[in-house]
Amino acid sequence: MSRVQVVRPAGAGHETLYVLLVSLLILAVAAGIVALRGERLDEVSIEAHQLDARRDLNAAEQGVYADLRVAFDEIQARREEEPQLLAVEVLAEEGFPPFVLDASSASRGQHQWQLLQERAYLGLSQANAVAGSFLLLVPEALDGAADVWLQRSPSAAVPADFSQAALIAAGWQQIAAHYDAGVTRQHRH
Amino acid sequence: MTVAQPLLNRACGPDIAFAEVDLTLGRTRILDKVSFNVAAGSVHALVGPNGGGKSSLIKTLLGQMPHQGQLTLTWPGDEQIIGYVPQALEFDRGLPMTVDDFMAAMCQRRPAFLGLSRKVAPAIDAALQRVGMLDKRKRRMGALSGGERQRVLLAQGLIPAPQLLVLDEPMSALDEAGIQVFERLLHDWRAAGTTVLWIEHDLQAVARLADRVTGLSRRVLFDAPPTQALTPERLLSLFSIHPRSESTA
Repeated sequence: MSRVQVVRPAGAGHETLYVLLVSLLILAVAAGIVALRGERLDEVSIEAHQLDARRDLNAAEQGVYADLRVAFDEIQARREEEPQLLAVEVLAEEGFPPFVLDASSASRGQHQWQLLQERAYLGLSQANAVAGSFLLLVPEALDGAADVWLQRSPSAAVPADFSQAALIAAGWQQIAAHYDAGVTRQHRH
Repeated sequence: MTVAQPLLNRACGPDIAFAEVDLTLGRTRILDKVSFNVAAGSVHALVGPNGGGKSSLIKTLLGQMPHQGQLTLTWPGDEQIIGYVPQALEFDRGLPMTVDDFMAAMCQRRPAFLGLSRKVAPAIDAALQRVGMLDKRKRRMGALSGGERQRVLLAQGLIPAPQLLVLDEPMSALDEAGIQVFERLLHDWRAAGTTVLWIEHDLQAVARLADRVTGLSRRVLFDAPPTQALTPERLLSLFSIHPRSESTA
């Protein structure tokens, strides 16, 4: 009995094929594990009455919003010494944007700020095409977070009630900021 | 040759057929339509100039080159053992590896530092005995002379008993005693029907010991029994810079 053995060329494809198959297998296993065990964390949807601070505000509104958050920190710090909220005039005198009247406030809609019932600051926009009107709700707690609302219609008025439902009914929209995904990964829907 | 005939009949080595084997590495054509046969149980010598593709042909036979063309071995039985004796062994001369360690590393699965395995120890003893290195088995490989080291390489090619032996210039490093050992081994292989493919530079040894000789310089220049092949004209053309094959000569 005789056996014929054909010497196969080295590196003539079959080794490459095996390596390719193994790498495909590794890819398939990895993809399977990711598909089975992966969870999506970046799918935080905002609610209908909310605006995304990053995507839904124009440039002027973003500036006012950022300034409001900084001023809010100062307001909260002052409350530790004195429970009264700082008056708008005091904030303007100390030069806190957006309360101070200067060139940037003029270009951002020239909001007229007022303190409401010792718990909210209302800034009514004088140029609704540039920026909407802002409402900053100061929480009861000293370490609470700022709650900022926006209304773009020119009919924005002093709200009678600061409850969420009442504000929504009056046409206000809450500005929601969440830091789930990088700006580079955003895609407009 | 009344004695040789029955011996050849019980050849246990394979028949090797090279058919239009091409080998190109990079842009260098190393083998060009090489076609010849190595008869089962014969001692087949391969001669040619340096860079003529002899070692590459052997690597191709051992399946280590991306060749083109057909290369088949027809084995007469189930046993398909190829023994290979390289031209030289490259290693650090200071390596504390004895002859026994080397044989153990080559011939057994058990790690060499655990000593010779009982299964292969008799075969290693016999192989070292055959090459006359039995009394030097405790010597360091680095301390051996080139000829002695070549004998150890020959011994490792004997285990397990091969049906095909591939020798890459075994005699170049051998001393006088080693050459006698090699000739005795060659005689034994011929008697056992082992196919021997043998690269050699010593043409006198080829004429004396080989059954057939192939002249290789990128392509096959001649393939005939040594008495016909090793004529002055053929050798001059084989070792010239512009070798011409027989058909174009």
